Amino acid sequence: MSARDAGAGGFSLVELLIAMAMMVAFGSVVMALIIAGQSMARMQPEAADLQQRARIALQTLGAELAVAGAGFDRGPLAGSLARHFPPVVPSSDGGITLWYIAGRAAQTTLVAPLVQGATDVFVESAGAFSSASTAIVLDSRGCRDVLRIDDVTSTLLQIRAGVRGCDYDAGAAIGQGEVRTYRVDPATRQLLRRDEATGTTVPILDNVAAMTIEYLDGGRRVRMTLRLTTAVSNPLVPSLEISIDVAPANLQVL
Amino acid sequence: MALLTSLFATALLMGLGLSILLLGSAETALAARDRESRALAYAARAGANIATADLRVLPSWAGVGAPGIVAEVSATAGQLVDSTLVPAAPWGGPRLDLRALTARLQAESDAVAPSGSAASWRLFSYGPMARLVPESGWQNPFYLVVWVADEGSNLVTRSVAYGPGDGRSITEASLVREPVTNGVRILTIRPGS
Repeated sequence: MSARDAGAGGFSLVELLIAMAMMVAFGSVVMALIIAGQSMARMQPEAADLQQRARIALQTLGAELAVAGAGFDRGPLAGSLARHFPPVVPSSDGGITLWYIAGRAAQTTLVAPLVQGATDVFVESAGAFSSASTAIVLDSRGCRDVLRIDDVTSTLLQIRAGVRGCDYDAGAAIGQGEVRTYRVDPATRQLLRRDEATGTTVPILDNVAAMTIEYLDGGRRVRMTLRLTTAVSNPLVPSLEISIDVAPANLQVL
Repeated sequence: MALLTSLFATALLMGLGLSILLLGSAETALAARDRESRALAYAARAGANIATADLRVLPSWAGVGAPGIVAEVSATAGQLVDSTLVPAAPWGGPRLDLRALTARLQAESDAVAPSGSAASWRLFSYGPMARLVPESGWQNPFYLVVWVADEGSNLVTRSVAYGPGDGRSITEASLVREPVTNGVRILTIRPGS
C-alpha cells in the first residue's frame, strides 16, 4: 500500500489540528475586523453629529455675537449701543444677553411720550417696521427697553403691554432689533435662546453639557466655550469642547 | 466552509466600509460648505474695511454716492474697480450683472424707506477677491461688491461677497466724517446682515 493510498480514507490527527488552528486564527482575525468595523460604524454617526452641532453652535452664536451692539444709523443717538449701555451682558441665569438693532430701515423716533402701561407708540414713520417683531427703545439718558410690536400702521406701533424700566419722551429712538439670551439648561442639557421681548424660549442645540463665558479686554471680547456630548454615552467618542472668541465689531467702534 | 466564511466576512466589512465612506464624504462636503460660508463672511467684512479705508483717505466725500460717468458707479469710487460691470464669476458660474444687482438693491431699499427718502445706491468698489489676495485666488473664488449711499447725516456702505452656489454674505456699515479732525467714524456695523 502506498502512502497516498493510506491517506485516502481521511485526515490524520496532525492535519486536522493544523487545519483547526488555521481556522481559529483566521476566524479570530475576521472577528476582530468585524468588531472594529462595527464599533467604527457606531462611532462615526455620533462623531459626525457632534461635529455638525459644533458647526451650528459656531455659526449661530458667532453670527449673533458679531452683530451684537449694532445701534442706530441716524439721529442724535446714532452709533453703537455700547455708547449708551452694555449690549453684551451676563444674564442672571448664567447665560449671556445680546442687544442689537437689526437693520437700517426700521429705525425712527418717538413723536409723543411713551409712558408706563401705554400700548400705542406714536412715531415719525413706522413703514419699515413689521408686526410680530421686537423693537428697542432708547433715550439720551441710556434708558432702554425691549418691546414686542403686535401691529403697525403708518405712524403707530402697537406694542404688547408690560412693565418697562423708563418713561420715554418724544425724540427717543426706536428701532427693530433683537434682545436674546443664550444659556444652557443643565437639566435638559440644551442650549436655549430666550427672546426677551416675548419671554419665549427655544432650544438651539441638544446635548450641551456646559457653557462658560469669559469677558475679555474689558468686555470688548467675548469667549464662549461649549462642551458638547453624544446623545447616547459612547466611550469611543469623547465630548467635544469648542470655543468661540469674538470681538464684536460694535464694541470696538466707540 | 472557509471560503464561505471569508466571503461573508468580506461582504460585511465592505458594507461597513462603504457606509463609513459615505458618511465621511458627507462630512467632508458639510465641512467644505461651512468653510466657504465663513470665508464669504470674512470677505464681506474685508470689503467693508477696504471701503472704509478708501473713504478715510478721501479729502472730501462730495462725489461719493453721486452718479458718475456710468450712473450706477459713484462719481468718486474706491481703489478696487473692475474693468466691466458684467464681470465673469471667479468660481466659474454665470456672469454677474452689477447693473441689475444695483437696480435690485435700489428697489429693495425704496420698498422699505418712507416715500421719497430712500438714498441712491452706487457702486463704490467691485472686483474679484483674488485681486486683493492674489496668492490665494483658488481658495477665495469670490467677487466683492461695495455699494455706497449718502443718507445726508451719514454714509452707508453695503459690502456683499458673492461666491459659488449662489452663496453671498453682506456687511453693512454706517460712517460719518468727524467735523474737527476730518477723520472717519464707524457709527455701527452689521456683519452678516
